[in-house]
Amino acid sequence: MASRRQNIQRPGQPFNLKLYVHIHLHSFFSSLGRLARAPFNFMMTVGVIAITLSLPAGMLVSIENLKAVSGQIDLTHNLSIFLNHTVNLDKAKALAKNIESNNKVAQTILIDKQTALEEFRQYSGFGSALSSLGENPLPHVIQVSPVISFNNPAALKSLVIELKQHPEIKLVQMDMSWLERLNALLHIAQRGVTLITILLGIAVLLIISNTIRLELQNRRAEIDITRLVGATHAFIKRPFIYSGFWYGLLGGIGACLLVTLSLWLLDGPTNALSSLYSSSFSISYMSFGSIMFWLALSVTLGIVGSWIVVTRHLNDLEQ
Amino acid sequence: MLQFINVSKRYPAGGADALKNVNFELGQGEMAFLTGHSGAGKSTLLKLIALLERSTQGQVMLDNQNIGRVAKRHVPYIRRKIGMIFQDHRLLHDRSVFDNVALPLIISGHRHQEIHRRVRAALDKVGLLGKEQRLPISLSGGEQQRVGIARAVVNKPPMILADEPTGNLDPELSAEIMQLFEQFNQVGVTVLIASHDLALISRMGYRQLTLANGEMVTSNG
Repeated sequence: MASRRQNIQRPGQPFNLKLYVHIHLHSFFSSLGRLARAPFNFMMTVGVIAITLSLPAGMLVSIENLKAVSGQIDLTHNLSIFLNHTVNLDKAKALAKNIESNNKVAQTILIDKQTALEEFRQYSGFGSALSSLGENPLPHVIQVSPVISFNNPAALKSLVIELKQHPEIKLVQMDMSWLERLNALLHIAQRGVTLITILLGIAVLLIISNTIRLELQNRRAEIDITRLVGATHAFIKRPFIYSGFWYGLLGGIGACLLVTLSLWLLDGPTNALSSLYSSSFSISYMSFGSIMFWLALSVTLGIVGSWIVVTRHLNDLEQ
Repeated sequence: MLQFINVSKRYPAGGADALKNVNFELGQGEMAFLTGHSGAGKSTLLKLIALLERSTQGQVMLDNQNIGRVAKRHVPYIRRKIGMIFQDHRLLHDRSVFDNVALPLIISGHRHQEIHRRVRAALDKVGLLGKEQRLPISLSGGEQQRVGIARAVVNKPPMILADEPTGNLDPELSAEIMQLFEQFNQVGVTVLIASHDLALISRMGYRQLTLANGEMVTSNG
């Protein structure tokens, strides 16, 4: 802060806040005015920045939405325990009680093989085929609902291993591995988007740097003259850094608008699709937090990009 | 006010010395002409004072400060003590006369009313009051040069440096411009003018500093 103050005022003089604000406001509005005088060039650059940033921003929103979809499917993880054929009903009841006493388990429901057969006969349409089988082919099944704190894939796995210790149990089924795979895929996608964000962020930095570099070339005479009459580097830099700020801010706003517009276009078809699956899912738009994130990112890139170029340029000029 | 002590300047590319062992002193409130053929080193000498270049050897003293050793970030404040005037005026062609003259005041952060008052005073001094809103391109060569002079004096610097200020003007306009410099000198401003208009200079009768091939051949008037 001390060095910045010195750039405006002669070193050693007391800091004058009013003067500081006055000088900044001057650069702030004059930079905006200059950009507004060449609106076509300005909007072209803003458009490039907006499109570049809308790609990662859009991907991130898509991933958030996919996560929401998978979250809806992810209800309760029940386990189905299939017992050995040799286990009789009394033993099965005892086992169900035993399992229920486990502190990881909230509730067990025993579906004995006779009931299961009746249900299957009723709903499957294989009734006559089943009758021709002399013997009930179905085993007793115990449905296990874990306590809520264990209702996650990792904890359930440990429960499964524990249950498999019982010799009566033939198979423990946990029908959620596809969900884990989807989550893993989303995780990879998120990583990918982070990488793309970094790359495209660098692209935005380069776009802004190059735009400011051209502006510096166009205004070379002006910079020389202001230097001659005693302008500090900070004074010369300020309008260019504000230009970078405007490019970043408007590019960021443009990116958020593009993403919102795209989501809006996808909203109708998505609702139609989710109603076919009788799901209540609908697209969620960019949150306030993520809009702020993208604006902050693009403004930062704008300021940093212009600062790098202007500082280099001025250091090259001065002896 | 200004003192050169054994100053030499060699440009990295050129090889030959642009200035060789130059010594002279310019007192507070003095007015002098810097003459010499093209390439004698007049512009280089002025650039050393305005810190557009730095000397290879020797000391350039301004107000008893060796400005050749000044840190980069202090350079602008040295330049604010000097009003620079150029043969090609160096005006901003997309800004009004007012904005051009106001530039040094904006840079040093003066308030609006103060800027208005001082710009009008400077333009009045050079006889351009009423043309504040014109663009430089719509003015004649002599008028443009006077805008440049107004810009150089608006900050009330203790010293004015002019590099061929009458180079493109006819004799009558040249004499008018020189009279302006005399007026500033009369109120105590130190003035150094580089010019090769020997007839005009000798008529005015001020001290002459003559450079030849980078060496100071005469330094008294």
